[in-house]
Amino acid sequence: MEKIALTIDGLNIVADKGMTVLETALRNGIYIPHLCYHPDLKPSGVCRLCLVEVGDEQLVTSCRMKVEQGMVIKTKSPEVDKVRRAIVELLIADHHTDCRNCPSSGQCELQRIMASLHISVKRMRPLKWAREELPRDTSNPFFDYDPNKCVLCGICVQTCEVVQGTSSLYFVGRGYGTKVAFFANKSRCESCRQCVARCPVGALIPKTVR
Amino acid sequence: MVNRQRMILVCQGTGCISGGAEQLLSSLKREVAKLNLGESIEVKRTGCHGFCQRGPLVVTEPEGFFYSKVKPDDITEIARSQLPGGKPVERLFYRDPITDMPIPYYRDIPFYSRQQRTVLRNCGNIDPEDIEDCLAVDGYQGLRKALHEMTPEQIIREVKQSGLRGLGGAGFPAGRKWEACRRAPGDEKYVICNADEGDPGAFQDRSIMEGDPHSVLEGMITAGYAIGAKQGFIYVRAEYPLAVKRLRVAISQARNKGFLGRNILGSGFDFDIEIFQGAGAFVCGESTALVLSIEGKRGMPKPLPRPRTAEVGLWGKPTLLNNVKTFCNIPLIIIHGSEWFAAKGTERSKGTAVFSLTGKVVNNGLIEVPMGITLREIIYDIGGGIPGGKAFKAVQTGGPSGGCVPASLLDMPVDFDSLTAAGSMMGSGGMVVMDEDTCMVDIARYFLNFTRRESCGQCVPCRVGTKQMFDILDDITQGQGRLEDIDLLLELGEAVARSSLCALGQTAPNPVLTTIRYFRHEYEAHIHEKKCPAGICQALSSPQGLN
Amino acid sequence: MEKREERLLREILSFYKGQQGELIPILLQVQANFGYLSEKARKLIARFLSITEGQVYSIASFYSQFRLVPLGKKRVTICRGTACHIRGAPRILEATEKVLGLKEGETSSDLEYTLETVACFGCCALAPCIRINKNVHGEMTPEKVKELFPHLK
Ligand SMILES: Cc1cc2nc3c(=O)[nH]c(=O)nc-3n(C[C@H](O)[C@H](O)[C@H](O)COP(=O)(O)O)c2cc1C
Ligand code: SF4
Ligand code: FES
Repeated sequence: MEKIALTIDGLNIVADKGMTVLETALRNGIYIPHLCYHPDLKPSGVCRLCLVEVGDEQLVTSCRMKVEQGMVIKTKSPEVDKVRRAIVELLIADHHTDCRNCPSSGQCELQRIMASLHISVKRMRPLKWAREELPRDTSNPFFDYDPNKCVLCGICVQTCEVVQGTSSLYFVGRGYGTKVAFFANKSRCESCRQCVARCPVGALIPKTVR
Repeated sequence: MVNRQRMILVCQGTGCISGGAEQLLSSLKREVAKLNLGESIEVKRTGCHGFCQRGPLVVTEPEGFFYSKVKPDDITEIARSQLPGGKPVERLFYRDPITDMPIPYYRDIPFYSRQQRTVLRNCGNIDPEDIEDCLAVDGYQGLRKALHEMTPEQIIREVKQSGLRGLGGAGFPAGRKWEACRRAPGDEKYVICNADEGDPGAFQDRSIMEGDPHSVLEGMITAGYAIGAKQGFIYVRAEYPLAVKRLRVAISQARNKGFLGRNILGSGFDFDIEIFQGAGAFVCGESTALVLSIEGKRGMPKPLPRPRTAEVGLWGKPTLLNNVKTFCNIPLIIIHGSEWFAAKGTERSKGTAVFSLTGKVVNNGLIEVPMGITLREIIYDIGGGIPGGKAFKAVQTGGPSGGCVPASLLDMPVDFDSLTAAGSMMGSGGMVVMDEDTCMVDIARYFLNFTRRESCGQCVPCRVGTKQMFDILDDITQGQGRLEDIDLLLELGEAVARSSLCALGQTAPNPVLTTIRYFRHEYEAHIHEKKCPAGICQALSSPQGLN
Repeated sequence: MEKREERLLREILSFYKGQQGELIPILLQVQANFGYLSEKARKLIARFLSITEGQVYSIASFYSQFRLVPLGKKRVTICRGTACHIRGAPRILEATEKVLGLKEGETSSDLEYTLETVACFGCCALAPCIRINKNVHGEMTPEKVKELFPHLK
């Protein structure tokens, strides 16, 4: 396997050709926040949290950027921090933050990101919090979907496609109104629950838990 | 075509039709037949003349009389006026809005006399549903020359040397795109004309398709020959049924004449064009989203890093995507040469720009001006200034991706780079004039409401960020503004611009950022004094205390 | 869906080859004939293109042209383009809402009227505009709105 030498946060790192910057960083113990990345899936690049600085102040998503010889990557910089923090705060203000009552508390990727950036709900920018409470979708026999917590990372949609070869989960709507919807005669969902297992937050919850 | 000396041209653009121009045309035809003038006077349907606000428009040739706001009852008079010795119908002449003097001739009306119409050369002069008319004004001569006298490389060199930049918004050099697409490996390639025209407040692409569809086709066919494609698509937005109809007619006539189909003009080159109608999504103007939409999918832009559409586009094949106006320029560049084209405009922005001039301006309509003209010339000389003696406040260009340019920059030249430097954008050609009665906070809120609805929703900063910014702006216009809101908007705007996945999100904060940059005091008045200086925001008191 | 409608739908489909690239043209054509995309229609279209109903719904719900519920006989559309906005479209919308007794996006219970807004229909020089089915009315005022619906007073 061809090797590629690059620097991440001042560390000299050797990676395999074809790997992404995010994979390389994670493998070398450097944490880059990410929500929509999953090792078994194609990187969709939609959460924008894994942005890093390449060379001269250009921000790129590390989950989609392949390593290149001599690359200089900064995963933390004033620029990156500013933008990333704003995205996380925007997400939180739009997310149900009743963590105490959330079955995913403790395994939630959003909590982990907040901790890594030292963001606390109390010390955030004075954003406007989502006012509407959207109804849950309980039409699947095995799990419920809570749009108030969903970050639309797309992992469940892609997982269903990859694991089942066809899909029962789809994006519906557009813009701020986008949601994930369960679609199929119940027979199609094989109850593999892979989507539930991979949900980075608490948007897909097995029925038995509640 | 019978070569009748006298013609009466009746505009059949969407604007004039909404004023009853269809009935006008049929009663004029009836009247001419009744007066037994069918032999000497030709009654002709044309596309948009541009001066939509004064419609329905009727022009008589050879005199060049220009009649505005024509009603069916006026028709007999106009028909008779065309007779030898007939008198023009003075009461229908356009009147100068300031002096109230009638201006009989088309060419003397300031709205037209200051323009330089090249892309719009045929709009309003030919019958868009009759290819013979188009051929009479050198239609398809560029294609003939390209196919018979030029190699694809020569065409690309000519386009490159002309300095033509894409007129869909971003201003990417057209020749470079063509070259990349020609060089991309593969025998299957596509040409797509971007006629999605999603900017609210812009209608220039629609008017061109309605008024001169063959020039669009000719540009596309030439492009197909240059890059080595056999199939073209025109992606037309859903709201444009008349443009679709005219394009359909044009395509079938071009096929009959051998400009489309197999072995075009005996050159051995095959090319055909299909129309694809959009289904209402602004984001589908973005190249990767547009391609997905033709493939029958959700139009969600593809993130970088990725190959360019010119290399991997429709169904994975190299695809050339250009705007309607970009294609319209091609026949002219081929016929007159790159130097002729490069002589127009400025050093870095060649040629002309087409704008839909609307809003609080005396003359509304479609205009074409050389690049580098100042905003003042456009708004005051062509547009006739601000109606009702009001003061000019700002002009918005670039639609939801652009910004509001204040009075202090009125003498700025209009070209790609100057507008970008001012925080706005050339965009695809919307130009909306605002006067003292326009509230800039309300305008920012208006555009964010648009982007919030039109965001595809896949990436976080755009989906949640535009919504957040809208909520903040909405509260400010409702009198709920907080001291920290202006800084908050600036911070969020910067983050959304820097981190969004596609250009929609990256440019969505522009209307907010420019209005804060140039009209910060209006925000402050809303927040600190709970006043709307323009008296637009109903929840707030106006300065005169009217509310 | 009645037999007759199903026959029409199948006839529409017979003009297509059954490739996914045809989905949007099919949806547009079906909607033009039926006014909206019913569940039954979506099901048949999905089967014809060998895709799932979920996919059809997912894609249809992305584009604002598509209606998944029936519309009124008269579609009243208000342009909220920039030129219309600064020339008073919000007041036109307000006036129309009042006259029709509907909010934006609603259809009257007798399926007579649907009130919608659209990003821009490109009649900016005649702003503000309103469209009733296919007819555009320019240079509107709240008073003129009332005149457009004389029988609704
Ligand atoms: C959100 C978005 C909307 C766009 N809408 C249009 C459009 O309506 N028409 C257009 O020609 N280009 C539009 N563009 C620009 C196109 O992506 C593309 O740059 C252009 O069609 C290329 O043609 P040109 O090089 O001739 O300008 C849009 C871009 C974005 C990001
Ligand atoms: S920036 Fe907006 S429109 Fe573009 S991909 Fe992200 S959500 Fe979609
Ligand atoms: S992990 Fe890279 S964008 Fe989400």
